[in-house]
Amino acid sequence: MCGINGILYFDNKQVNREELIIMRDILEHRGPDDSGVFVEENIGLGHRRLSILDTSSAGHQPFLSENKRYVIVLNGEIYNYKSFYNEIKSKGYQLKTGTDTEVLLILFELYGLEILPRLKGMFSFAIWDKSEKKLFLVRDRMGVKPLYYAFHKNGIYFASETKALFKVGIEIELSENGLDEYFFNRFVSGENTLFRNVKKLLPGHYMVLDSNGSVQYRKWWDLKYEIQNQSKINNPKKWFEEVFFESVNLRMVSDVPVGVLLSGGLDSSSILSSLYHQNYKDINTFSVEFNETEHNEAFLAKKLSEDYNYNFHSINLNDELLLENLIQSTYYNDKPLMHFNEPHLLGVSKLAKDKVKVLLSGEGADELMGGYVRYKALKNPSLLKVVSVLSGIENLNKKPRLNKLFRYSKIETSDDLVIYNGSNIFPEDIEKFYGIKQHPFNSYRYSVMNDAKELYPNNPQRQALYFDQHTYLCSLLDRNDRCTMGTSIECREPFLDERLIAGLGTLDDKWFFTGKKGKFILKSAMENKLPSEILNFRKIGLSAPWKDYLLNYPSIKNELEDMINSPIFEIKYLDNINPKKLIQELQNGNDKLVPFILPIFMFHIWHKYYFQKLSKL
Amino acid sequence: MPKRKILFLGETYRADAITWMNGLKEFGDFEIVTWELNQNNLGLNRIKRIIEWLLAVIRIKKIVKAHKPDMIIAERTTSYGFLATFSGMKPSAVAQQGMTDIWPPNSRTKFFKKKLQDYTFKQADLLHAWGELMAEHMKKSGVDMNKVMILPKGINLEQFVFESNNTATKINAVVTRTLEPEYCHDVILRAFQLVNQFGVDFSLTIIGDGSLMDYLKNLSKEYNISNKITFTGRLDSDKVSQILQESNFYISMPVTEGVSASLFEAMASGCFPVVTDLPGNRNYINNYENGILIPKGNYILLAEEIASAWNRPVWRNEVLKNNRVFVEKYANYSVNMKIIADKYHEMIDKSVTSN
Repeated sequence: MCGINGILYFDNKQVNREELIIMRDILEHRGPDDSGVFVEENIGLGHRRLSILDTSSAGHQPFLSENKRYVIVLNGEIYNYKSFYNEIKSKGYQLKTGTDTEVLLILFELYGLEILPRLKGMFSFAIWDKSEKKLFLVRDRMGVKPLYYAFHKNGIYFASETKALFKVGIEIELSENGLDEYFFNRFVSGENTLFRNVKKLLPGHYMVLDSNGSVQYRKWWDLKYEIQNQSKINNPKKWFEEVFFESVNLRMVSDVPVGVLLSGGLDSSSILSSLYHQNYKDINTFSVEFNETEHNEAFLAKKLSEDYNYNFHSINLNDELLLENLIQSTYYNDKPLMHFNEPHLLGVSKLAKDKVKVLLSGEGADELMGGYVRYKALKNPSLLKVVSVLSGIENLNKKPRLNKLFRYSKIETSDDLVIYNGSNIFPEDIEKFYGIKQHPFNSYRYSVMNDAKELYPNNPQRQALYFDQHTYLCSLLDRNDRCTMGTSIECREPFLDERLIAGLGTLDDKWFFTGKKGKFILKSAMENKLPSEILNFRKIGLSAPWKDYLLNYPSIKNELEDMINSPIFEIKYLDNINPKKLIQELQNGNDKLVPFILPIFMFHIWHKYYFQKLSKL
Repeated sequence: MPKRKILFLGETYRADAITWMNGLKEFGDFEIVTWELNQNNLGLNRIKRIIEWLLAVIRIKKIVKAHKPDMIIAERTTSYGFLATFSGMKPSAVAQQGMTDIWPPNSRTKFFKKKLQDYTFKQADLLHAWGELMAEHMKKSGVDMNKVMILPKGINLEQFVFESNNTATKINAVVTRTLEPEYCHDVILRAFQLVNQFGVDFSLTIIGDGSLMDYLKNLSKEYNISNKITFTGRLDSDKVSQILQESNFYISMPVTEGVSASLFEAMASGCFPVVTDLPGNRNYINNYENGILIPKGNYILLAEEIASAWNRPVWRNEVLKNNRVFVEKYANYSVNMKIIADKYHEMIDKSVTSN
């Protein structure tokens, strides 16, 4: 796991080494162990290394192939790299290092991009072919590892984080579509970002760029196709347990200590249990504690760790520590926070830093197996019409959760019910609260929706899972990457094994939506391995008590009050907002405003601190 | 040998039909006899048109008797195409015009039109798919693909001459679609309002006429970009080709589309294509590779992508050269119409032999 960056000019201009190094070194947190650059005429590649496999200097990057034709910078891990050893040797290659990077480059030399479907891992990498003068940019199936790019000065600039692009002159210009999606849908989906000039390489895609400016974009892994072409799974429970355990085991490949991000919920506990049942010893677990009982699962995490004789560690972010992590995580994320638990994730990663270099996380389980409560609303959308009628009852409407359901129930089309299922603000609110008549285009979301409908006609719940796997999950993976890498820790997601993702997509609904908590297949597979208090505990996830923070944590409260004078209210989205009145209403007890205030508050924090920090570096 | 005759059923004023007929005359030495419905589709005339349609087969048979054509060809599988096949005249060739000829998609007569289309698909000796899109639809509809010819009529490459314009100092964009709602000129104007706000200099030429002319002129004033926009009205094709050669961006934002000859014309002339992300366009434009595809109506993205592409002259230049080569290979009118005309002669020969 590392930070990568690069520049390719299409007009044969010489790459400026200093510029490349500036880009590289702003990513130092992603790779404090080593750094390198490769510059040759119009191409430059940079690398910051976090040594996980073969921590010796042999793994230095950019890495050159034996014949000097190819140069690679890799961010991530190829978990199954050792499985290629015999094949590589039989083709006459001698390995000089114990790294996955060398294996990947030899495989590329042998098979080109055809090798991609055989790779198991999380990665984004760039390979320069000196002979063909071509640059290959590749991203893993689900987008665990990031890759951003911008066309600038007749060339392409790319990096693991957008700050590396901004640092060398790519302007921070907000995109109107991006702002729409941020404020109304929580995050920007697809290849676009919040910034007009910056794009993401989509998960499961690659780009090939010629020195003459020609570009090829291709999807090399298509979940819809994979699901459609899966063979039938005869015993889902057995299959799931086997593949999940294998996946966890595969993600233990490391020459440095591995720990677990343990919330105490079903997903991360299942990972820990899998480790335990595969006889892994001396595992460190890391958890976030909350003072607010309704948000706290850490006691479960502690108990499970003790049961397995593992080492439990936890952190509680109080007031100033929370603000400090809020500001820092905003910097690492490069954009306003949208999941609102980024400070906690950063905080717990800091806690883990002294003990481990790799953390396993339960991310992806909810999107793959229907773990969110919000999916329930899609079981029978016609019932939402009835709910909508009840929204007039003021007493019911005062409760934030019911208020959210009432607002959601006013969505008219089945497609929009799926698209806005993960949002906190819905189409009618956009006009009521923000005074904006035009809804977000959501072009990428609708295109994913079309695929979802083709795969699961008339099944909004399954459509929502497929939809979230391509949108919401990408955003969570970005958050995980940024918050853990902010402290130089690699995060691995065992649920995102390609066999699990595609296989689960073929299973019957009952394996997901049976029971109160969803994820029936996971629960079934783990029922004899996990204690009942974890199997049956209500779902919390990493949800932070922001209402309390805003009202009762002095540092956060100060920032909220400071927001009144923020220049962010000059942008047109916030024309209709009176921040003073809004904050007063919240402080007077109107809880319903929390989902509306939070994106604005996070935008304020980003605006106030991000530029400041970037300009200092 | 006497000149061979073709009976054409369709709207003879349409540019598409004119290209087809002229190509057959030029490259197949055919004589063309035409017939079309006289009543328009407006108001009470609609009833007259339906009656005319019901009696059309009798009329077509009379024309066949009088002119003794060697072959019948027609456009649209649900109207003239159906009449052509229902008349019993052989051999017959029918062209599907759009992604589907069942239009509008939510029409109350959809079921009836589907029946007509199925009949035409079954009875026609040759089906023209002017692009992959139509062919895909035919395949899905269970058509015997052995009788489908997938080939665009192409464009006149001598008229649409390549001019890269890569040294231009500003965006010279052109729109060549009729000024009607389905072509969404308002989306384009709104995008250029943003391009203007981005500080990117441009001129925009809107060729064509239509019911929205006044509305669009007012809109360009409202957006404060009227000084950068020229509405030319309808122009003859020589003038259109000249403007295309002078332009460096071609913008087209329809909400629905089959295969647009104007896209080929723009690609041949050296305009960088920015078009709606529709299946028809996807057959010719790979997004970000040889042009840009914009989701329907997304004027913000349209503006951002135009500005971004403007800042990538090396890439654009490469795209323009490759697009010209593609059109020369795939949509050369003189090559493609010769293939089509030869096919008709072969069908007529076969028909004569079997009789």
